[in-house]
Amino acid sequence: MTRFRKILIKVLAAELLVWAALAMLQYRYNG
Amino acid sequence: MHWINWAVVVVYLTYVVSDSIRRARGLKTIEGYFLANRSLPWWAVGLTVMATQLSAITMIGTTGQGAVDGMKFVQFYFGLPVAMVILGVTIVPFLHGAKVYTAYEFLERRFGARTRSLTALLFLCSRGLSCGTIIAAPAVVFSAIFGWPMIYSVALIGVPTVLYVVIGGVQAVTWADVKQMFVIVTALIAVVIVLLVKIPVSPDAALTIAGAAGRLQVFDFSFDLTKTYTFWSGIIGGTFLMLSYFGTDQSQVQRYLTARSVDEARSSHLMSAFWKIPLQALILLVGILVFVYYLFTAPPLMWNPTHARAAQAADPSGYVQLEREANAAWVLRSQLAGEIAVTRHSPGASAGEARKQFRTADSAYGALRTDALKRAEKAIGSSTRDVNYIIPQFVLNELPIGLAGLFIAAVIAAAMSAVAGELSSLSTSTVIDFYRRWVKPEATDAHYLAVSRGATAAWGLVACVVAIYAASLGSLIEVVNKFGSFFYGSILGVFILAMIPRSRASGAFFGMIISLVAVGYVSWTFPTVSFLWYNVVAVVTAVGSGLVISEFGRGFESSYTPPT
Repeated sequence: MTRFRKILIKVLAAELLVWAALAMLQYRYNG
Repeated sequence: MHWINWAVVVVYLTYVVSDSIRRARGLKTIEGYFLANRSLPWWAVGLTVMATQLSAITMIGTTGQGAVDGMKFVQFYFGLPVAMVILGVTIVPFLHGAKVYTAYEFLERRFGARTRSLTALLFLCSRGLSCGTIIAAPAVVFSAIFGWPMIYSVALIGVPTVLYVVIGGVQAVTWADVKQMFVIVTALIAVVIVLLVKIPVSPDAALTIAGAAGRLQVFDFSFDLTKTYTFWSGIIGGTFLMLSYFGTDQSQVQRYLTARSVDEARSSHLMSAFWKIPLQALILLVGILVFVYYLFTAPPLMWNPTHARAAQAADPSGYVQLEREANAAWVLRSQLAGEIAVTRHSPGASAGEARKQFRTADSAYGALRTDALKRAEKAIGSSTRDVNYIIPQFVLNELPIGLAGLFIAAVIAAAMSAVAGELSSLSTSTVIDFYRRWVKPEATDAHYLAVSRGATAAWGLVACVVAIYAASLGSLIEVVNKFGSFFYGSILGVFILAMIPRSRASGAFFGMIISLVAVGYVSWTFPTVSFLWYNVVAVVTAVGSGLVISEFGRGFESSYTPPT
């Protein structure tokens, strides 16, 4: 697997994590 | 501002400029000046990609936006990681592999000089003017806060930037951006820590209060074309906008052309994709915490002192009465915020009731502020943009000595990094797409290097002059900013056509013009449609009409394509 693909997978995973974190923030505090 | 804060700013500016000049030693070719001899590591390129996109208005305007509107602006960037991944497998390998200086140079190889010159000209017109507005936005705020003439504020940002870009070229721009990103992120984190310490309730309570005021509403899934920031406008319109900006705008293309290899260029984009949304969320969080801070510390009714004085002078007794009412509304809102902090874990209706009352009090205070802003707008005859003054006022009045200087240095750093990237790209396109292409195709590197430095200085002068007059140009500046979004999608459409084997030069050229007309038609006929959708309209019409014209115009092709 090339370095680009490795980073690509990490970026996509990180993107999902960021969305999940933002959704948690909204769910937890926005009522 | 305290002299220690100024000392921090001066030391920072001196360090950035002197280090950049040191890096310019041994610079003898235009490949070194414009592309750093294609030798930069991916992480430095990734930081410069982010720094170029992050301007001073992000530091003061977006944080202020966070205080007023909350987190919803972050949706604007949802398309960025998607765009970066698409670019990593399409345009980036194309352009990096083509060994070009500018994105538009690549278009000539595919579609001829006419398409290249038109796209380069659109870039120069729009970026040349917007470069001035990037300096103007923080300069207006500095002038209002410090009481300086506009020319001093413009000089503070413009002179050091022009100096290091003229001398050091893209090498200096990149390494200055690395330092500037470090200063910006450090200042933002430091401000968040200070805010969490100074807010008289726990971080959990502060976020609960922000949530009660609707500031932590991130996602809006409504499919409403007139709303600027929704999940769909961010993920669809935002993807097209980011594809256009990072894929075809020379100020960004030039960043990844300096990378050592295609793999490193793609990695630099993915680094930006990785960090952009968390960084933007951090910037908005600063604004949200400032909002919570001023629930417990009395804020001024208006943040721009000049505009507050104008509103007061227009109707002294009315304004004093308004201030009195706003103060009473603030006291009530403050008490209800404290109640939310206390009752947030208690079961039953008390917590819900406190949130409801707080929201009503927040709306009442907001209505009084809107009244004050309308009075100021009537007195000065233009919009106030009061939101841009929230963070500077907080920084100067509430942050400890030294840290305020660091934040001001970070705002200047953000302005410098955005302007530097643009000046460098404007100069590259001027010299490569016009001077070397049409005026003097054969000359020594020393000659082109001298012309390039002259072009950088000239664009720097244009940017500073535009910035000085920007405040008096008023709504014209908004037109300039919108002008860019009118043709971004069209240029992206041409680049997509360039990668489709069946497309021809006539299709690309007329497809671009048809898409420009289509965007003009949409913006004129449906003025409430968010600008993020313009890019979708432009790409679809440019590619669609370009392919149709390519198909039917094959017989006329030779007469349209100049020799390359």
